[in-house]
Amino acid sequence: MTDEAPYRADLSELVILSLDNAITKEQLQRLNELIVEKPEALDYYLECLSVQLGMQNFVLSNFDVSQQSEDHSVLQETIKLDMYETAIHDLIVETEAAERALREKLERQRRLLSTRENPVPPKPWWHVAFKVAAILMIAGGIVQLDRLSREHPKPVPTAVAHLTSSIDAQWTDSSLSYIEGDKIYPGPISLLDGFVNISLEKGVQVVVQAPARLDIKSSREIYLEEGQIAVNIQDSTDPFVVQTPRAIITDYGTEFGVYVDRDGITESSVFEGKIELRNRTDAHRLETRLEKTLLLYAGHAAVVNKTGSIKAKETPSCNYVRDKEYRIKLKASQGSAYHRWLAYTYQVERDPGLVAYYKFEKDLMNPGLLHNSTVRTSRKLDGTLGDEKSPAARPTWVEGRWPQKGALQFNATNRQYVRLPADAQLAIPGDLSIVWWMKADPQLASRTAVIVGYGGKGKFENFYYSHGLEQGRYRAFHEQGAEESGDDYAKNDIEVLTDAAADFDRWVQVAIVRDAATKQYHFYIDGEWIESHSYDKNCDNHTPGTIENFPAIGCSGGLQSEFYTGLLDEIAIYNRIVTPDEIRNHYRAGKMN
Amino acid sequence: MDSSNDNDISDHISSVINQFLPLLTMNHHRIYGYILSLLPVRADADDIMQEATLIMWKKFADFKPGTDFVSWGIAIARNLLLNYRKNKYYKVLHLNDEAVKMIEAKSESFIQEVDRRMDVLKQCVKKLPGRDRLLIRLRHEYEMPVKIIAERLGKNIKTIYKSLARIQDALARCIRRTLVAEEWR
Repeated sequence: MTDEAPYRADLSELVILSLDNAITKEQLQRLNELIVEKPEALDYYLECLSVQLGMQNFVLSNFDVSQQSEDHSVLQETIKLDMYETAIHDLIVETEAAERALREKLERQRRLLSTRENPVPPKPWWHVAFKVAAILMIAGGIVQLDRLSREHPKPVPTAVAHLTSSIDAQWTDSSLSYIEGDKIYPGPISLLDGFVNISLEKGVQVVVQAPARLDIKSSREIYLEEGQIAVNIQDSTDPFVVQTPRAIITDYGTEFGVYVDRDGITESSVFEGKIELRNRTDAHRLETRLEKTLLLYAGHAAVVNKTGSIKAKETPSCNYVRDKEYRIKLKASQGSAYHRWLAYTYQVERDPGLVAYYKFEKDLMNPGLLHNSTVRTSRKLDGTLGDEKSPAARPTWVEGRWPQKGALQFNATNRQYVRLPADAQLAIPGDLSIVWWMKADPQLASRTAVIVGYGGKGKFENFYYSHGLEQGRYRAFHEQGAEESGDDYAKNDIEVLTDAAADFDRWVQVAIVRDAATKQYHFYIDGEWIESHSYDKNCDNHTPGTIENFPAIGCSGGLQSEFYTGLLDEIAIYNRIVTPDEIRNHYRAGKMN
Repeated sequence: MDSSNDNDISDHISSVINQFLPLLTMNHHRIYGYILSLLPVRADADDIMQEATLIMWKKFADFKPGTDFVSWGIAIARNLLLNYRKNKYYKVLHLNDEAVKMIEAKSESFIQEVDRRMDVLKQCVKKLPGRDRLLIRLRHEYEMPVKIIAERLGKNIKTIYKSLARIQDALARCIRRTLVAEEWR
């Protein structure tokens, strides 16, 4: 039998359930089957019982909890041990009645012994009473009297929090794992994978992101040994404190994140309100004895490094899973396809290679805007629907891939488009990946542009690229030193069309990846690679023209041509090569079912 | 009956008990192990063991010093188990005849190995993480019911059973590895 035998975990649990008389009929049937059908399972069954026998007989005297008292985790466990001892005390109280019954039983059996076929008449019986009782106690495994002499236990620690929910949570130690609704007592919590949401008193919500080790010491204090938490505090009556090996963060009603690495280096970002960040002065290092404090406000972040110095950061970290994102992830884990996609968008937004990300979520306050949700470029690359002077040129907000989601309906007849800012960040000469969702109308024009990028400031120039459809095929396009007009027009155009026909009248995910090093365009449809095509010249800066121009969605920009007809949704522009796996994940997260 | 007779009888009983007790103490876990392997319900196995002990005490005069006390005890336990299995309620939640037969076939080697295994177990328990040791301590030393452990730790019963099963598996693996290593030395 190998140690990896798949039935071991099952069988081990069945043995324990059976010993406790807590086994169900089905489980018993499984136990019988394993014993009868698998000789190795029978061996393992007997091994389990020998463990139980050993435990029951004498192993207990070998426990020595104090041997690891220096270990932090055991120190924390000791806190829980107090609780255990209290529980034991309660148990003793509960079993006192049983104890009395047991004594009566012993007495009855003693009498039984003294009146039945003993080797000799049992007179006088009191000489042997003690030994007979001892036999019976051994025989029954009933050695409970010592419990009565135990010290009175300490007070029970109260629960300081409870686990509101979890997502794919895996705990380092299953014996200290939690499920939804579990009370949490002071003591170590070690999350190996996934996320958990913990509720403390007074509306404090903590999202813990694995891997993390922490200890919720009270309803107003957390010790974060390592890992990442996002804290949302509604009630600022009492300060809330997060301690780490190198810092103390005091909050007065806000939302903030704390990240601690293996060396105890602590980063804290504030999303709302303010916090006080202080280095610890109880460390042994001389340089950390000097207390330093920094007040951080919304949008601020700072790091306490190994020496205890505090350095401000330019921007808060975007890596914290905050309350809103957590709730979306939770709904996604419960099966909502829309939330699955929405949860994935947070991951996309954090990508350092992401230049612009249009999620096509309608802003009810500003329906004329198409927001860019890339953390790095923030609102700088927000798009504007159509032309202010011509309302008809605005595409229409419609229902997207899910009822909760928006999309834009473009109509070429009305020359509808989304204008993007002529920003240098959209000038991407090298590696370029663009992923989008479309539901094209089969009646659209021969050549249509879905996304067009420029790098210049209002002129037809600089790193022009345009992806879309042409003659019923997917099209990638860029220019290299092209002239604006004249005989040489288009002599340096790089245009690649797929062999495969484009899809119409259904939602399709299209990804076009330009690998500047190998000079290849790779095409992906619905998460799967379909074709790659080589080209001879990379996108390059070319002579500025004279036509006022701008990047756009749904047309060729300033040229005001190649208008698209159909639905568009979710466009992500990267300045790096997005891998096939990433494209596949993007598709799986965004597909409708 | 005069007082001298009383004293003689008392001395005789003491003498018998002084023979019986060490034998029982030394071999209790082997006999109990046999019972537990065929009747893996602790409360029921305890009852059988208790009854077997009473019978052994009553019939100790039949036991021939120098013979195998464990075999004698197991023979008594086996009869009790047979009677127990005839009980109409027995079959509801106990091992079936086929399983019992297969376990019985292995019981001799199981009994022979049980001492070695228990010795190795001491070392294996020391290798467990502190939290696991605490959990089995609650279960075996304090005999705390799983339900109470679960309540006190703020967890559900299922989680505690899974933890106990995982610990038991870890110990069984450790014992096996150690015994194999010893055989190779």
